[in-house]
Amino acid sequence: MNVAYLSIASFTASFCGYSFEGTELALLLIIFTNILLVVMLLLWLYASKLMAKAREARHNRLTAFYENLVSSYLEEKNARKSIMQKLHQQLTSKERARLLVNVIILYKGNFSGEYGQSLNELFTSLDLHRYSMRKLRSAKWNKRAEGIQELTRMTIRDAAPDLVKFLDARERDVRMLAVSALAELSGYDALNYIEERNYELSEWEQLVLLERFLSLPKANVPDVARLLRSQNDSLVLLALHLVKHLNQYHAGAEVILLLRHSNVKVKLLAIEAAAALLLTECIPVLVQVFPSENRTVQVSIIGTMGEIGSSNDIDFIIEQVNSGDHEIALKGLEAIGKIEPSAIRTMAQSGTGELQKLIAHAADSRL
Amino acid sequence: MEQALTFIYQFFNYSILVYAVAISLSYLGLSLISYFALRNHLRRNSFINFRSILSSPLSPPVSLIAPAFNEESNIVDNVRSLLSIHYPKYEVVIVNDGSKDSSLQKLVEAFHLEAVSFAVNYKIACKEIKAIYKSRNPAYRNLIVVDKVNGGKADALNSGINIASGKYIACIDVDCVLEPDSLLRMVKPFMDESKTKVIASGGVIRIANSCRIENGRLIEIRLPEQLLPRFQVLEYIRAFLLGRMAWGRMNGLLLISGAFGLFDKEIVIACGGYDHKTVGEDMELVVRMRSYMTSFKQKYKVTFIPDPLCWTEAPYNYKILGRQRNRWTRGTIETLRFHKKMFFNPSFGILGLVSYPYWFFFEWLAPLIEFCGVLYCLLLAAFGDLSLYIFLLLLGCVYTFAMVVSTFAIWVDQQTYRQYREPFAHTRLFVTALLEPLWFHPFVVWHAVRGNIDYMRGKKAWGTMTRAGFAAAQKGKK
Repeated sequence: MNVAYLSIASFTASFCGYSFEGTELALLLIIFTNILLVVMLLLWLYASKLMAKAREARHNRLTAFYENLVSSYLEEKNARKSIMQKLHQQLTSKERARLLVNVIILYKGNFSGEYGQSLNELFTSLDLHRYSMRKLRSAKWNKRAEGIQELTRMTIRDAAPDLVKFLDARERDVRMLAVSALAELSGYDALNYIEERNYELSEWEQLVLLERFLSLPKANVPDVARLLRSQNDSLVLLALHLVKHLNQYHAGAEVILLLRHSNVKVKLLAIEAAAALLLTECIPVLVQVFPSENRTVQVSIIGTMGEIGSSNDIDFIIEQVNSGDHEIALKGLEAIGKIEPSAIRTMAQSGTGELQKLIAHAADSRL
Repeated sequence: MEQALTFIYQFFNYSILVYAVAISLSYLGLSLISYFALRNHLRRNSFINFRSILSSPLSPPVSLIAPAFNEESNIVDNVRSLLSIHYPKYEVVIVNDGSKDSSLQKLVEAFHLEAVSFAVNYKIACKEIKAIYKSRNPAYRNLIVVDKVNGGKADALNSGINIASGKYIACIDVDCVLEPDSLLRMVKPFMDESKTKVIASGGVIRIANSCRIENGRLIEIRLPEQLLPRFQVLEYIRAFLLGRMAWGRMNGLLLISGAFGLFDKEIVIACGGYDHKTVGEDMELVVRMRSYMTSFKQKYKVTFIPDPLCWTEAPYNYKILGRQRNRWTRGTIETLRFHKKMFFNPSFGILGLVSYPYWFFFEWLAPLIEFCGVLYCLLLAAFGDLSLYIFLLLLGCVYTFAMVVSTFAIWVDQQTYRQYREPFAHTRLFVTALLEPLWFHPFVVWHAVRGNIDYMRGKKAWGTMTRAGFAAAQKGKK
């Protein structure tokens, strides 16, 4: 945006020699308005700088004060009642409440165990959870998002049912926060809520959910195989990730069914999951679907055969290596190298220059 | 006859009036859209934990591709900087585009490189790749150096794309300084959408002249001490925060800066990669990718991240700046010409009906119209037909309007990112804004006109872009 591309001269020249009624006045008015706007913007700029500086100083002072009180609350069990009263007296404005919530959330992020529990008690005793819950009813999406985030960070598990409705919120960010909040507060139970959701899960939401689920104790992992049969492809993708990363071997039959899924993303992930779960029984299916798939899927199939295939599959892979497609040939050679390294040596002796280059690439561990 | 001449004269006058009003309104409109979009973006960002990507097995792999030509003075530091970015799955592909200096040797020594047996799949046409190097040291396992025959920036980028293994490719200038979390932020829009495919994402480029940079990391942000880079700071704030932000919001972005952009590799390859025939390869690729998606009737988006993610050194003298602006003009003309089918073509949606015409009328034609206006004005003055009073009033209108837009840009920067926190930084920027239309702008217009002339003469060269280098600038200051 080059602001001065205003054709100054041509615009100017266009009126030369003319003197319209009122033109001068109109032009003077424009100049005056522009100058006024510039002055106002400059005043606003400097005033907001000064105000921001003052606000920052005030926030720093209050934050330090609250940090002191919260630290004392955690360390001096006998003085807790009086500290709580002091903090309660501080809650005279929304700004102060927000700063106190921020301090408690900061501490909560740093402490777990007994201190974490105490911080939760402090949060609820000061009725700050109600303050966060009130935000959920705000008309502004960012206020609702703030409320969700505060309840999540303070792990107020009782709030989970109130957050379910936000899974279908109009605003994408509120939906995302609700997904992550439910995963945080309800663990794997979040899957039940998400199953009922109207919106598809974005890749980001899948990432957040998976990150959370992978951090949960492995003992409580539910059976996600039923989700593999969902009509919602994004949920199937999430379930496949879980099956793959949580080694849900019993979901093998469903994973094999998904190798014929119409959605390429689902199909690709199912092929990866089959390799991770060592589903050797899927190989005949892979061989069967191979000719009708696009190249990306074919490369993935060959990769999986390299992971779980046997010497029986070598002929099929060699056939694909000779198909002339660079990516398939390279993947095929890597696969053969994994299944039967001696076959690679034989191919290297008899192969053409191009094939030998591919073999050298496939054999180079640095690539 | 006289009546006909008067009619033509008046028609010309009113056409120019309409043009000037349209361009002014477009600036106002774009500025307002940008401001609200920026506010919304900052609010949204405050709820996002970008670090989630760092620990997730679902983070998409990214290949950073950086072409290098005769960069021996800074290349090792620059590569070290690229290798220290916070992202879990990424590789750095440095393409040595037939450098005549010791760039390659320096890389080989610094990173313990050795040639590997890489069987290149030439999915996109590019000049011959002579060798590919990887490091013996596992600490540099995500570094790949490609040595190829010189073919220019577009060709080097295409070679890098042929080597890249990531799902997304980030094309960058090797001498840029990236913020450590730049990839985390750039990848996010690609993962946000479930129904619309994000094909490319651009970030804000900021000017690093006079900033303190140590070991390839930005330590302190300072406003450039020299006037020329400071003009460009103001120009970049306007262009990125007020211009591209609005186009991004409307999904009408035509240009992602060659200094830093993230692309969906599959779409880039399907489109045939960067075009060797243009000097505006960055803009041309984005337009072609959009055209490709439209032709397949796929829903897509080109997003823009207003966060300052990439810092670059702006031309520090008039000669180099002139060459850069000349090239930008030729690149714009070439891209507009290659894709002329989009002009007011409703099947391209906002791209055909708004973005392309905007670039045609207000980016390409504006300097030409302005230059012709200057000549016309001089002609009128020579014949004594110039009303000096009206001339000055109109000049005052345009000058003060330019001030409004520039001051608004400074104000937006202060309200959002507050990049310049030194005392009097905003005052200095405002003084720069006062001088810009008198000094910097005529220079830019002149070189845009020269770009048009060079285009008509068939000039294809990039023109040498010499940079002082951050390290050199720091030393010079000490």
